[in-house]
Amino acid sequence: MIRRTRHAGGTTWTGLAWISPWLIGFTCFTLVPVGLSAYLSFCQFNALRPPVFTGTENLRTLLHDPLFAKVLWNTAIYALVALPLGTVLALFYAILLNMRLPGQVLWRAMIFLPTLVPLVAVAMVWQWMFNGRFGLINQALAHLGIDGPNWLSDPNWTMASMVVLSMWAVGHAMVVYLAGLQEVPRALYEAAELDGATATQRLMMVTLPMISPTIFYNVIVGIIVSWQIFVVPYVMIPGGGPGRNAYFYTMYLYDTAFVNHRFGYACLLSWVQLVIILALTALAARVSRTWVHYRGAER
Amino acid sequence: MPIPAGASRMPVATRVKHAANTALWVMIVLATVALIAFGPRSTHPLPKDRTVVTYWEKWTDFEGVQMRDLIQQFNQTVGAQKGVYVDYVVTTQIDFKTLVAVAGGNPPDLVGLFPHNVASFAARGALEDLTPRLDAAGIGRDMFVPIYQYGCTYHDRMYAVPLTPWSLALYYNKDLFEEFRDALAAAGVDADRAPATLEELAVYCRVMYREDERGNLTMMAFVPGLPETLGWYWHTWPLWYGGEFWDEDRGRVPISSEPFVRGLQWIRDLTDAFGQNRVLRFESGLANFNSPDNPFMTGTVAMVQQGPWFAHMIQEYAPEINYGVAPFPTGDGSPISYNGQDALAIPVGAAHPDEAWIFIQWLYTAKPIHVRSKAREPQFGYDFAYQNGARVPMPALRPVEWLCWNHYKNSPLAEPEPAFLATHPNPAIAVHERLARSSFAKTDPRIPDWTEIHEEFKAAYRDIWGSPVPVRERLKDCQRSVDTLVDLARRRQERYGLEFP
Repeated sequence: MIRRTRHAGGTTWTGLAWISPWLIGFTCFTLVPVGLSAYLSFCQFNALRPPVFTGTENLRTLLHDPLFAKVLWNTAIYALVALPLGTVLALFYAILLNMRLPGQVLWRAMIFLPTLVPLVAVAMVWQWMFNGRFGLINQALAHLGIDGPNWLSDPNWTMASMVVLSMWAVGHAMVVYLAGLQEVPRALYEAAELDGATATQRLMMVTLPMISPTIFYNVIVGIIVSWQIFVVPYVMIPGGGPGRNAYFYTMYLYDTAFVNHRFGYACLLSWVQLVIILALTALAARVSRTWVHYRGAER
Repeated sequence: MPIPAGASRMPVATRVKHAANTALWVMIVLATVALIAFGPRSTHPLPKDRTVVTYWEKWTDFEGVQMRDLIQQFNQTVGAQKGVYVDYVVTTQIDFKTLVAVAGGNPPDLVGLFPHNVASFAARGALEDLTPRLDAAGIGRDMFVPIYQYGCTYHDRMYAVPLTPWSLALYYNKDLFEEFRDALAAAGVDADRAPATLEELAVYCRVMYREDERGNLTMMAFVPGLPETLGWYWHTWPLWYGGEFWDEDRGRVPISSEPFVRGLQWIRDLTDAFGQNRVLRFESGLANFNSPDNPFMTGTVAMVQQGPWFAHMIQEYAPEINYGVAPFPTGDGSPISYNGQDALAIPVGAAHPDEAWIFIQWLYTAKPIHVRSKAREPQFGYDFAYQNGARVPMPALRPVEWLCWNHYKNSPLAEPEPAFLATHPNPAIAVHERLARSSFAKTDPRIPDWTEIHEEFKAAYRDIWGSPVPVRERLKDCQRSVDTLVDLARRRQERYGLEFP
């Protein structure tokens, strides 16, 4: 008995030793910084002088900060528009590419490929795509007789340009949907066909309910990603353009911390962002009970 | 079944596990040894018998090469005598990285900062106060041009020294002026000189433009934000109407004051004259600054607000351009100028501050020297220059002036070497020198949180340039935000027992 316990203890220590690089890394680079950032949220801290505890001052500043309200609004609008549009588009591509089409693999690769391009490169390329004078988008619109806008410098179009750009990178969600679609049992479609269901009815009554867990997963990921939008607008429209209409939450957070060196306030901003994302995720999870169907789940 | 003699009693699974563990350890040890033996190495060996001074600087291209040439001269002479070796390290995002390095306790020994960094870094306690060293070395403040000395001073202490300074001026394309001569004359202005007032500049702008058959602008006289939409010097506009960035009496940045309103109204009037969308579209099609397609080089823009380095760019990309340089136009024609300097500083916590100081002292106090540089243009050769059109030997210059000469910039020294000006490769150097030494010379305010305030002002400028928002109302709105930022900054300083600004 004693020998077995010793052996078990030894195994535990060996196991811990083997995962110690991760444990040390997690503690040093995640756990401790997260704890410190919670403390620093209540401090004035510029990284060079010691932090000074200021109580709720950062919170009071936040509540009266017009820029905080602006970035919150911008990010919410972006998420509200880009997420549903992206979901529908990715689903549309996935359904299309789940059919037997000539060059199916090529089409799939073409839609997925943009997600592999580094974000800074995406931003640089799209900066020229959206160029008011020489951009391909406006050139194409000109052929249709439409005088395209100054996408990145007109305050009415900066947000729209970011939403349009987000549609370019739906490949990842499309692949996940595709995997979900291929899991839908063939027998269900055959049964529906025997019952005389049309294509739309098969989509609404069979496909969507069967892949609802996949949709739910993509929506959760989409909420997180859209609330953290950063690199592309930061490179393409520094400062958010006129009216700061494309100035998003994470851009403000980054500028506060790493440009203006107000690390305490930035820590508070990051915690608020975490709370918002958690709340939205919880809300989505709550609502999902009404529309997500798990195979084998008891009703 | 009996176990054969010599066979292990261990089960096979255990033996496999042990073998796998051993293999893993062997792999880790081998990888470590390989990393030590063949891992990354410094690209240039550093001398072991000298104190190595790590110098972070932002310059690449010809500016970086020339700084390296100068450092090599130091390392081979005074550095060799005193056992000091300066190691030049090109660093991007130098301001941010320096702060992080200081916070982490491992900063470089020397750092080349942007003009607006000095007050802000000094207020945060990131820079060594150089005043005692300057006093001990007999380098008085009067050694420097006042505006550059001002830019390196915070709370009456010098935290940096001006390395390569500049003043902004108006570069104008004489050939384009000639092309529009008749139209300019009809509008009552002269094609033989640059505009002296902003009122005149507006006239030049209204006359000098081209458009295509679809009404798109293809050439303009002047675009305020260039070299990029909100590139470098958009914020200088209030200065041209006599404004100041900091109101000492009120302790405020007077963003809604009359010079700010007039300056930004001038910008709005320009966009209104052509239509905001047309101007924005024209601007969006302009190529990168540092390229042969720079709009000034291609004749797409007739006038730009630039520093002395621009003469070097013209020399490199479009030497055929017939251009002139004049003080930037102002509200009443007075020669107001905006100035700044690359500043050399020793970060707090540097490992070798004394050795770093030896290099700084050499830059400013060494006797005029000859330095060979491979980076100079072919027409200036390695060791000759031009004086009044005649080829002359490259003059001996004090190290800091040698650098400025090669960077096409003016001198930071109150009394430059006569040969510095006489042989200077920048044909506009006299204009830049005069502007920097004028009593109208201005620079950024010495406010700890100027970057954040500057960003708020930039947002207002961007709105006025790119949207129909009323100028005065937008600046009033900006004033409220900036006042809040100033109050917060003041409170932050006071918490550390420090004076604001």
